[in-house]
Amino acid sequence: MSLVNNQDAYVEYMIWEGGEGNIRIRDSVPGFRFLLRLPNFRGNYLSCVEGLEFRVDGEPVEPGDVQLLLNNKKFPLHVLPELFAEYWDCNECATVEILREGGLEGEHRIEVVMRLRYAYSAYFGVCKVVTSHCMKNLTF
Amino acid sequence: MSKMRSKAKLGVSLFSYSCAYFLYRKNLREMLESARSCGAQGVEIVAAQMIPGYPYPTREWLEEFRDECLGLGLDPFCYSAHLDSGLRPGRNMTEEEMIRSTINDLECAYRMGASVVRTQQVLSPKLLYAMAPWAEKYEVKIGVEIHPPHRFSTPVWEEYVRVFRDIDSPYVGVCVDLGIYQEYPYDGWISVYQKHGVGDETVSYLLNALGEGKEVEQVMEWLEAQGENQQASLYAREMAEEMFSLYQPYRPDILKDIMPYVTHFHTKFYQMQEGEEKTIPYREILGLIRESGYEGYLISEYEGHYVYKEDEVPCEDQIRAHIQMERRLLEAR
Repeated sequence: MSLVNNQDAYVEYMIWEGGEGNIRIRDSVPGFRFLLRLPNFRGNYLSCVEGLEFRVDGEPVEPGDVQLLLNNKKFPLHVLPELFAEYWDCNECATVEILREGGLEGEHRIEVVMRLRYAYSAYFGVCKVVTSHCMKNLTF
Repeated sequence: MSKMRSKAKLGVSLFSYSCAYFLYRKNLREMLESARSCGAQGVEIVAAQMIPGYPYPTREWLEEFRDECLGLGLDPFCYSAHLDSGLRPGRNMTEEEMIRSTINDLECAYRMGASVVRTQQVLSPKLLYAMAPWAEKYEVKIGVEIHPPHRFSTPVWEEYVRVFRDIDSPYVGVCVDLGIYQEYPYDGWISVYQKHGVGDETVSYLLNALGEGKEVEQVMEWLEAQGENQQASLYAREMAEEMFSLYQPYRPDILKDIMPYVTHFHTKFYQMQEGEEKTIPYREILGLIRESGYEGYLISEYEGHYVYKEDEVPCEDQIRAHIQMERRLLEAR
Protein backbone atom coordinates (compact mmCIF):
# COMPACT_ATOMS: atom_id res chain seq x y z
CA MET A 1 0.00 0.00 0.00
CA SER A 2 1.41 3.38 -0.98
CA LEU A 3 0.70 6.25 1.36
CA VAL A 4 1.64 8.78 -1.29
CA ASN A 5 0.25 9.27 -4.76
CA ASN A 6 3.33 10.24 -6.72
CA GLN A 7 0.96 11.66 -9.34
CA ASP A 8 0.35 14.46 -6.88
CA ALA A 9 -0.65 17.05 -9.48
CA TYR A 10 -3.86 15.11 -10.20
CA VAL A 11 -4.97 14.70 -6.59
CA GLU A 12 -6.29 18.25 -6.17
CA TYR A 13 -8.70 17.69 -9.06
CA MET A 14 -10.39 14.60 -7.60
CA ILE A 15 -13.21 16.85 -6.43
CA TRP A 16 -13.94 18.62 -9.71
CA GLU A 17 -15.66 21.94 -9.25
CA GLY A 18 -18.71 22.97 -11.23
CA GLY A 19 -21.14 20.08 -10.80
CA GLU A 20 -22.05 20.49 -7.12
CA GLY A 21 -25.67 20.92 -6.17
CA ASN A 22 -28.65 19.36 -4.48
CA ILE A 23 -30.82 16.51 -5.70
CA ARG A 24 -34.38 17.74 -5.98
CA ILE A 25 -37.50 15.63 -6.29
CA ARG A 26 -40.53 17.95 -6.46
CA ASP A 27 -40.39 19.82 -3.14
CA SER A 28 -38.01 17.49 -1.38
CA VAL A 29 -34.24 17.44 -1.35
CA PRO A 30 -33.07 13.91 -0.53
CA GLY A 31 -29.37 14.59 -0.99
CA PHE A 32 -26.60 16.38 -2.83
CA ARG A 33 -24.12 15.70 -5.57
CA PHE A 34 -20.71 16.74 -6.82
CA LEU A 35 -18.23 15.64 -9.48
CA LEU A 36 -15.37 13.22 -8.96
CA ARG A 37 -12.35 12.47 -11.14
CA LEU A 38 -9.63 9.87 -11.04
CA PRO A 39 -6.41 11.12 -9.47
CA ASN A 40 -4.43 9.42 -12.21
CA PHE A 41 -3.10 10.21 -15.68
CA ARG A 42 -5.00 7.28 -17.22
CA GLY A 43 -8.45 5.74 -16.99
CA ASN A 44 -9.13 2.71 -14.83
CA TYR A 45 -11.61 -0.10 -14.42
CA LEU A 46 -14.07 0.52 -11.60
CA SER A 47 -12.98 -2.81 -10.09
CA CYS A 48 -9.64 -1.14 -9.37
CA VAL A 49 -11.20 1.34 -6.95
CA GLU A 50 -10.46 -0.49 -3.71
CA GLY A 51 -11.76 2.18 -1.41
CA LEU A 52 -13.82 5.32 -1.70
CA GLU A 53 -14.66 7.25 1.45
CA PHE A 54 -16.31 10.60 1.90
CA ARG A 55 -16.57 13.12 4.70
CA VAL A 56 -18.76 16.20 4.92
CA ASP A 57 -17.54 18.88 7.32
CA GLY A 58 -15.36 16.22 8.93
CA GLU A 59 -18.22 13.72 9.44
CA PRO A 60 -17.88 10.34 7.67
CA VAL A 61 -20.60 9.48 5.15
CA GLU A 62 -22.19 6.03 5.38
CA PRO A 63 -21.05 4.03 2.31
CA GLY A 64 -24.63 2.85 1.80
CA ASP A 65 -25.72 6.47 1.26
CA VAL A 66 -23.41 6.92 -1.74
CA GLN A 67 -23.93 6.19 -5.42
CA LEU A 68 -21.55 6.76 -8.30
CA LEU A 69 -22.93 7.81 -11.69
CA LEU A 70 -20.73 6.99 -14.65
CA ASN A 71 -21.15 5.88 -18.26
CA ASN A 72 -24.89 6.60 -17.97
CA LYS A 73 -25.20 4.07 -15.16
CA LYS A 74 -25.57 4.29 -11.41
CA PHE A 75 -23.51 2.15 -9.05
CA PRO A 76 -23.73 1.68 -5.28
CA LEU A 77 -20.21 1.55 -3.83
CA HIS A 78 -20.34 -2.09 -2.76
CA VAL A 79 -20.60 -3.30 -6.37
CA LEU A 80 -17.42 -1.54 -7.56
CA PRO A 81 -15.13 -4.58 -7.05
CA GLU A 82 -17.32 -6.54 -9.52
CA LEU A 83 -17.05 -3.98 -12.32
CA PHE A 84 -13.99 -5.23 -14.19
CA ALA A 85 -15.49 -4.37 -17.57
CA GLU A 86 -16.68 -0.87 -16.63
CA TYR A 87 -14.07 1.67 -17.64
CA TRP A 88 -13.70 5.09 -16.06
CA ASP A 89 -12.06 7.25 -18.71
CA CYS A 90 -9.53 9.67 -17.25
CA ASN A 91 -11.28 12.69 -18.74
CA GLU A 92 -14.73 11.60 -17.58
CA CYS A 93 -16.25 13.16 -14.46
CA ALA A 94 -18.27 10.74 -12.35
CA THR A 95 -21.11 12.18 -10.31
CA VAL A 96 -21.25 11.28 -6.62
CA GLU A 97 -24.73 11.32 -5.15
CA ILE A 98 -25.01 11.29 -1.38
CA LEU A 99 -28.29 10.83 0.44
CA ARG A 100 -28.80 13.46 3.13
CA GLU A 101 -32.24 14.79 3.90
CA GLY A 102 -32.39 18.46 2.99
CA GLY A 103 -29.12 18.33 1.03
CA LEU A 104 -26.51 20.98 1.72
CA GLU A 105 -26.85 24.75 1.71
CA GLY A 106 -24.00 27.21 1.53
CA GLU A 107 -20.32 26.31 1.84
CA HIS A 108 -19.25 22.88 3.09
CA ARG A 109 -15.99 21.01 3.34
CA ILE A 110 -16.04 17.87 1.22
CA GLU A 111 -13.34 15.23 1.56
CA VAL A 112 -12.61 12.15 -0.51
CA VAL A 113 -10.13 9.36 0.07
CA MET A 114 -9.61 6.95 -2.81
CA ARG A 115 -7.51 3.81 -2.83
CA LEU A 116 -6.77 2.88 -6.41
CA ARG A 117 -5.12 -0.34 -7.51
CA TYR A 118 -2.70 0.08 -10.39
CA ALA A 119 -3.70 -3.07 -12.27
CA TYR A 120 -0.59 -3.09 -14.45
CA SER A 121 1.91 -2.73 -11.65
CA ALA A 122 2.43 -6.33 -10.52
CA TYR A 123 6.13 -6.15 -11.37
CA PHE A 124 6.94 -8.38 -8.45
CA GLY A 125 3.61 -10.22 -8.35
CA VAL A 126 1.57 -7.71 -6.32
CA CYS A 127 -0.21 -4.61 -7.59
CA LYS A 128 0.47 -1.24 -6.07
CA VAL A 129 -2.49 0.39 -4.30
CA VAL A 130 -2.24 4.16 -4.07
CA THR A 131 -4.07 6.38 -1.59
CA SER A 132 -5.22 9.86 -2.60
CA HIS A 133 -6.88 12.41 -0.36
CA CYS A 134 -8.61 15.55 -1.62
CA MET A 135 -10.47 18.18 0.39
CA LYS A 136 -12.36 21.16 -0.99
CA ASN A 137 -14.87 23.72 0.15
CA LEU A 138 -17.83 23.63 -2.20
CA THR A 139 -20.80 25.94 -2.25
CA PHE A 140 -24.20 24.28 -2.66
CA MET B 1 33.99 5.25 -33.42
CA SER B 2 31.40 6.32 -35.91
CA LYS B 3 31.60 9.83 -37.29
CA MET B 4 28.24 9.36 -38.99
CA ARG B 5 25.36 11.55 -37.97
CA SER B 6 22.94 9.53 -35.86
CA LYS B 7 20.00 8.13 -37.81
CA ALA B 8 17.83 7.82 -34.71
CA LYS B 9 14.34 9.25 -35.13
CA LEU B 10 12.74 11.53 -32.57
CA GLY B 11 9.18 11.22 -31.37
CA VAL B 12 6.88 12.15 -28.51
CA SER B 13 4.61 10.11 -26.32
CA LEU B 14 1.32 11.98 -26.03
CA PHE B 15 1.51 10.93 -22.36
CA SER B 16 3.86 13.91 -22.10
CA TYR B 17 0.79 16.13 -22.46
CA SER B 18 -1.15 14.32 -19.73
CA CYS B 19 -1.84 17.34 -17.57
CA ALA B 20 -2.92 19.59 -20.46
CA TYR B 21 -5.20 16.78 -21.63
CA PHE B 22 -6.59 16.10 -18.14
CA LEU B 23 -7.40 19.79 -17.69
CA TYR B 24 -9.12 19.87 -21.12
CA ARG B 25 -6.59 22.40 -22.40
CA LYS B 26 -5.38 20.36 -25.35
CA ASN B 27 -7.40 17.90 -27.39
CA LEU B 28 -5.87 15.14 -29.44
CA ARG B 29 -5.50 17.24 -32.56
CA GLU B 30 -3.80 20.03 -30.59
CA MET B 31 -1.39 17.59 -28.98
CA LEU B 32 -0.44 16.16 -32.37
CA GLU B 33 0.11 19.65 -33.79
CA SER B 34 2.21 20.56 -30.79
CA ALA B 35 4.30 17.38 -31.08
CA ARG B 36 4.96 18.17 -34.72
CA SER B 37 5.94 21.75 -33.94
CA CYS B 38 8.34 20.53 -31.23
CA GLY B 39 10.13 18.44 -33.84
CA ALA B 40 8.56 14.99 -33.46
CA GLN B 41 8.59 12.66 -36.45
CA GLY B 42 6.32 10.13 -34.77
CA VAL B 43 4.06 9.69 -31.76
CA GLU B 44 3.13 7.11 -29.19
CA ILE B 45 -0.35 7.08 -27.67
CA VAL B 46 -1.27 5.52 -24.33
CA ALA B 47 -4.45 3.65 -25.16
CA ALA B 48 -5.79 3.50 -21.59
CA GLN B 49 -5.47 7.25 -21.41
CA MET B 50 -6.51 8.76 -24.72
CA ILE B 51 -8.29 6.23 -26.90
CA PRO B 52 -12.09 6.48 -26.56
CA GLY B 53 -13.83 3.16 -26.08
CA TYR B 54 -10.72 1.57 -24.58
CA PRO B 55 -10.02 -1.34 -24.41
CA TYR B 56 -12.16 -2.00 -27.49
CA PRO B 57 -12.01 1.18 -29.59
CA THR B 58 -13.77 1.24 -32.93
CA ARG B 59 -11.96 0.56 -36.13
CA GLU B 60 -13.21 3.93 -37.41
CA TRP B 61 -11.60 5.82 -34.55
CA LEU B 62 -8.27 4.05 -34.98
CA GLU B 63 -8.23 4.69 -38.72
CA GLU B 64 -9.16 8.33 -38.24
CA PHE B 65 -6.33 8.73 -35.75
CA ARG B 66 -3.92 7.17 -38.23
CA ASP B 67 -5.10 9.53 -40.98
CA GLU B 68 -4.89 12.54 -38.70
CA CYS B 69 -1.27 11.70 -37.83
CA LEU B 70 -0.30 11.06 -41.43
CA GLY B 71 -2.01 14.28 -42.51
CA LEU B 72 0.25 16.19 -40.14
CA GLY B 73 3.34 14.35 -41.34
CA LEU B 74 3.54 12.26 -38.16
CA ASP B 75 4.15 8.54 -37.93
CA PRO B 76 1.53 6.90 -35.60
CA PHE B 77 4.45 4.86 -34.37
CA CYS B 78 3.36 3.14 -31.18
CA TYR B 79 0.18 1.92 -29.51
CA SER B 80 1.10 1.94 -25.85
CA ALA B 81 -0.72 -0.86 -24.04
CA HIS B 82 -1.15 -1.42 -20.34
CA LEU B 83 -1.45 -5.04 -19.42
CA ASP B 84 -3.93 -4.69 -16.57
CA SER B 85 -3.32 -8.13 -15.15
CA GLY B 86 -4.71 -7.09 -11.76
CA LEU B 87 -8.00 -5.63 -12.94
CA ARG B 88 -10.00 -8.11 -10.91
CA PRO B 89 -9.72 -8.10 -7.15
CA GLY B 90 -8.45 -11.38 -5.77
CA ARG B 91 -6.75 -12.84 -8.81
CA ASN B 92 -4.45 -11.95 -11.65
CA MET B 93 -5.25 -12.52 -15.30
CA THR B 94 -4.65 -16.04 -16.51
CA GLU B 95 -2.07 -16.60 -19.23
CA GLU B 96 -4.89 -17.07 -21.71
CA GLU B 97 -6.42 -13.71 -20.72
CA MET B 98 -3.05 -11.98 -21.10
CA ILE B 99 -2.59 -13.47 -24.55
CA ARG B 100 -6.12 -12.39 -25.60
CA SER B 101 -5.54 -8.90 -24.24
CA THR B 102 -2.25 -8.57 -26.14
CA ILE B 103 -3.78 -9.86 -29.38
CA ASN B 104 -6.40 -7.12 -28.97
CA ASP B 105 -3.57 -4.58 -28.56
CA LEU B 106 -1.91 -5.85 -31.74
CA GLU B 107 -5.21 -5.58 -33.60
CA CYS B 108 -5.69 -1.98 -32.45
CA ALA B 109 -2.10 -1.07 -33.33
CA TYR B 110 -2.53 -2.58 -36.76
CA ARG B 111 -5.71 -0.56 -37.36
CA MET B 112 -4.05 2.70 -36.37
CA GLY B 113 -1.02 2.08 -38.54
CA ALA B 114 1.40 1.64 -35.63
CA SER B 115 4.59 -0.37 -36.00
CA VAL B 116 4.90 -1.25 -32.32
CA VAL B 117 2.81 -2.24 -29.33
CA ARG B 118 4.47 -1.23 -26.10
CA THR B 119 3.46 -3.81 -23.53
CA GLN B 120 4.55 -4.34 -19.97
CA GLN B 121 6.71 -6.68 -18.04
CA VAL B 122 3.74 -8.57 -16.59
CA LEU B 123 3.69 -10.32 -19.99
CA SER B 124 6.12 -13.03 -18.99
CA PRO B 125 9.07 -14.16 -21.14
CA LYS B 126 7.30 -17.49 -21.63
CA LEU B 127 4.25 -15.80 -23.15
CA LEU B 128 6.41 -14.14 -25.80
CA TYR B 129 6.61 -17.52 -27.53
CA ALA B 130 2.81 -17.46 -27.83
CA MET B 131 2.75 -13.83 -28.95
CA ALA B 132 5.50 -13.89 -31.58
CA PRO B 133 3.39 -15.57 -34.31
CA TRP B 134 0.61 -13.01 -33.73
CA ALA B 135 3.05 -10.10 -33.93
CA GLU B 136 4.40 -11.51 -37.18
CA LYS B 137 0.88 -11.98 -38.54
CA TYR B 138 -0.04 -8.34 -37.87
CA GLU B 139 3.47 -7.15 -38.76
CA VAL B 140 3.43 -5.15 -35.54
CA LYS B 141 6.32 -5.46 -33.09
CA ILE B 142 5.81 -6.22 -29.42
CA GLY B 143 8.13 -4.16 -27.24
CA VAL B 144 8.11 -5.26 -23.60
CA GLU B 145 8.97 -2.18 -21.63
CA ILE B 146 11.75 -2.42 -19.11
CA HIS B 147 10.71 0.07 -16.47
CA PRO B 148 11.76 0.82 -12.91
CA PRO B 149 11.84 -0.88 -10.44
CA HIS B 150 13.22 -3.47 -12.89
CA ARG B 151 16.67 -3.20 -14.44
CA PHE B 152 18.51 -5.47 -16.85
CA SER B 153 20.10 -7.11 -13.82
CA THR B 154 16.67 -8.12 -12.44
CA PRO B 155 16.46 -11.92 -12.86
CA VAL B 156 13.33 -11.86 -15.02
CA TRP B 157 15.15 -9.59 -17.49
CA GLU B 158 17.95 -12.07 -17.86
CA GLU B 159 15.22 -14.47 -18.92
CA TYR B 160 13.64 -11.92 -21.31
CA VAL B 161 16.98 -11.36 -23.02
CA ARG B 162 17.51 -15.12 -23.36
CA VAL B 163 14.03 -15.41 -24.93
CA PHE B 164 14.59 -12.46 -27.32
CA ARG B 165 17.70 -14.22 -28.57
CA ASP B 166 15.95 -17.56 -28.75
CA ILE B 167 12.91 -16.27 -30.68
CA ASP B 168 15.18 -13.96 -32.68
CA SER B 169 12.30 -12.27 -34.48
CA PRO B 170 12.28 -8.61 -35.53
CA TYR B 171 8.77 -8.55 -34.07
CA VAL B 172 9.68 -9.25 -30.44
CA GLY B 173 11.93 -7.03 -28.38
CA VAL B 174 12.30 -4.47 -25.64
CA CYS B 175 11.20 -0.88 -25.16
CA VAL B 176 13.85 0.67 -22.94
CA ASP B 177 12.57 3.27 -20.50
CA LEU B 178 15.52 5.43 -19.54
CA GLY B 179 14.04 5.66 -16.05
CA ILE B 180 15.96 2.43 -15.38
CA TYR B 181 19.13 4.54 -15.41
CA GLN B 182 17.79 7.26 -13.14
CA GLU B 183 20.35 8.07 -10.48
CA TYR B 184 18.34 10.09 -8.00
CA PRO B 185 14.82 11.50 -7.57
CA TYR B 186 13.73 14.74 -9.15
CA ASP B 187 12.91 17.75 -6.99
CA GLY B 188 9.15 17.47 -7.48
CA TRP B 189 9.12 13.85 -6.32
CA ILE B 190 10.95 14.84 -3.16
CA SER B 191 8.57 17.73 -2.54
CA VAL B 192 5.58 15.35 -2.44
CA TYR B 193 7.10 13.58 0.57
CA GLN B 194 8.09 16.89 2.14
CA LYS B 195 4.47 17.93 1.87
CA HIS B 196 3.63 14.89 3.99
CA GLY B 197 6.03 16.00 6.72
CA VAL B 198 9.37 14.41 5.80
CA GLY B 199 11.96 16.87 7.12
CA ASP B 200 14.89 18.50 5.29
CA GLU B 201 17.45 16.64 7.39
CA THR B 202 15.94 13.28 6.44
CA VAL B 203 15.80 14.24 2.77
CA SER B 204 19.44 15.28 2.66
CA TYR B 205 20.49 12.14 4.58
CA LEU B 206 18.61 9.94 2.08
CA LEU B 207 20.11 11.70 -0.95
CA ASN B 208 23.62 11.39 0.45
CA ALA B 209 23.08 7.75 1.38
CA LEU B 210 21.85 7.01 -2.14
CA GLY B 211 24.87 8.69 -3.70
CA GLU B 212 27.23 6.83 -1.37
CA GLY B 213 25.64 3.49 -2.27
CA LYS B 214 24.47 2.72 1.28
CA GLU B 215 22.29 -0.35 1.80
CA VAL B 216 18.59 0.24 2.40
CA GLU B 217 18.72 -1.70 5.71
CA GLN B 218 21.31 0.73 7.04
CA VAL B 219 19.14 3.65 5.98
CA MET B 220 16.10 2.17 7.71
CA GLU B 221 18.10 1.82 10.94
CA TRP B 222 19.07 5.49 10.74
CA LEU B 223 15.42 6.46 10.20
CA GLU B 224 14.39 4.31 13.15
CA ALA B 225 16.84 6.14 15.38
CA GLN B 226 15.54 9.58 14.44
CA GLY B 227 12.37 9.28 16.51
CA GLU B 228 10.35 11.56 14.23
CA ASN B 229 6.65 11.57 14.95
CA GLN B 230 4.93 8.37 13.93
CA GLN B 231 3.19 9.78 10.87
CA ALA B 232 6.26 11.54 9.39
CA SER B 233 8.28 8.42 10.05
CA LEU B 234 5.90 6.25 8.00
CA TYR B 235 6.25 8.62 5.04
CA ALA B 236 10.03 8.77 5.47
CA ARG B 237 10.21 4.98 5.38
CA GLU B 238 8.10 4.82 2.24
CA MET B 239 10.27 7.50 0.65
CA ALA B 240 13.43 5.56 1.50
CA GLU B 241 12.01 2.27 0.21
CA GLU B 242 10.95 3.87 -3.06
CA MET B 243 14.22 5.73 -3.50
CA PHE B 244 16.41 2.72 -2.93
CA SER B 245 14.34 0.51 -5.22
CA LEU B 246 14.09 3.04 -8.07
CA TYR B 247 17.41 4.86 -8.19
CA GLN B 248 21.09 4.02 -8.14
CA PRO B 249 24.33 5.45 -9.54
CA TYR B 250 24.67 4.69 -13.25
CA ARG B 251 26.71 1.74 -14.33
CA PRO B 252 26.84 0.40 -17.89
CA ASP B 253 24.88 -2.81 -18.47
CA ILE B 254 24.05 -5.12 -21.38
CA LEU B 255 22.21 -2.46 -23.39
CA LYS B 256 24.97 -2.24 -26.00
CA ASP B 257 24.71 -5.98 -26.68
CA ILE B 258 20.95 -6.09 -27.09
CA MET B 259 20.45 -3.07 -29.33
CA PRO B 260 19.18 -5.30 -32.19
CA TYR B 261 16.20 -6.21 -29.97
CA VAL B 262 15.31 -2.64 -28.98
CA THR B 263 11.92 -1.65 -30.45
CA HIS B 264 12.34 1.92 -29.17
CA PHE B 265 13.42 4.04 -26.24
CA HIS B 266 11.24 5.95 -23.83
CA THR B 267 13.47 8.91 -23.20
CA LYS B 268 12.02 9.71 -19.80
CA PHE B 269 12.44 13.14 -18.24
CA TYR B 270 11.04 15.22 -15.42
CA GLN B 271 12.37 18.73 -15.60
CA MET B 272 14.52 20.35 -18.23
CA GLN B 273 16.92 22.74 -16.51
CA GLU B 274 19.49 24.69 -18.53
CA GLY B 275 18.81 22.39 -21.47
CA GLU B 276 19.39 19.21 -19.49
CA GLU B 277 17.57 16.49 -17.55
CA LYS B 278 19.89 16.00 -14.64
CA THR B 279 18.59 12.86 -12.94
CA ILE B 280 19.35 10.53 -15.87
CA PRO B 281 22.82 10.18 -17.49
CA TYR B 282 21.65 11.26 -20.95
CA ARG B 283 25.12 12.04 -22.28
CA GLU B 284 26.32 8.47 -21.67
CA ILE B 285 23.16 6.72 -22.90
CA LEU B 286 22.61 8.83 -26.01
CA GLY B 287 26.33 8.51 -26.76
CA LEU B 288 25.94 4.73 -26.66
CA ILE B 289 22.85 4.93 -28.89
CA ARG B 290 24.68 7.16 -31.36
CA GLU B 291 27.71 4.88 -31.53
CA SER B 292 25.55 1.78 -31.98
CA GLY B 293 24.14 3.11 -35.27
CA TYR B 294 20.59 2.76 -33.91
CA GLU B 295 18.00 3.95 -36.43
CA GLY B 296 14.82 3.57 -34.39
CA TYR B 297 12.82 6.02 -32.30
CA LEU B 298 13.64 7.91 -29.16
CA ILE B 299 10.22 8.75 -27.76
CA SER B 300 10.26 11.74 -25.40
CA GLU B 301 8.33 10.91 -22.28
CA TYR B 302 7.78 13.86 -19.98
CA GLU B 303 6.70 12.71 -16.54
CA GLY B 304 7.16 15.91 -14.55
CA HIS B 305 3.42 16.50 -14.98
CA TYR B 306 2.91 14.05 -12.13
CA VAL B 307 3.96 16.86 -9.84
CA TYR B 308 4.58 20.15 -11.63
CA LYS B 309 1.60 22.32 -12.41
CA GLU B 310 0.83 22.95 -16.05
CA ASP B 311 0.46 26.70 -15.35
CA GLU B 312 3.95 26.88 -13.90
CA VAL B 313 5.75 24.31 -16.07
CA PRO B 314 3.97 24.01 -19.42
CA CYS B 315 4.53 20.55 -20.87
CA GLU B 316 5.01 21.86 -24.41
CA ASP B 317 8.07 23.91 -23.36
CA GLN B 318 9.49 20.86 -21.64
CA ILE B 319 8.99 18.64 -24.69
CA ARG B 320 10.56 21.18 -27.04
CA ALA B 321 13.61 21.59 -24.77
CA HIS B 322 13.99 17.83 -24.45
CA ILE B 323 13.97 17.23 -28.20
CA GLN B 324 16.56 19.96 -28.61
CA MET B 325 18.75 18.26 -26.00
CA GLU B 326 18.42 14.91 -27.73
CA ARG B 327 19.39 16.44 -31.08
CA ARG B 328 22.42 18.07 -29.50
CA LEU B 329 23.57 14.89 -27.80
CA LEU B 330 22.97 12.72 -30.86
CA GLU B 331 25.02 15.05 -33.00
CA ALA B 332 27.85 15.45 -30.48
CA ARG B 333 31.23 14.00 -31.30
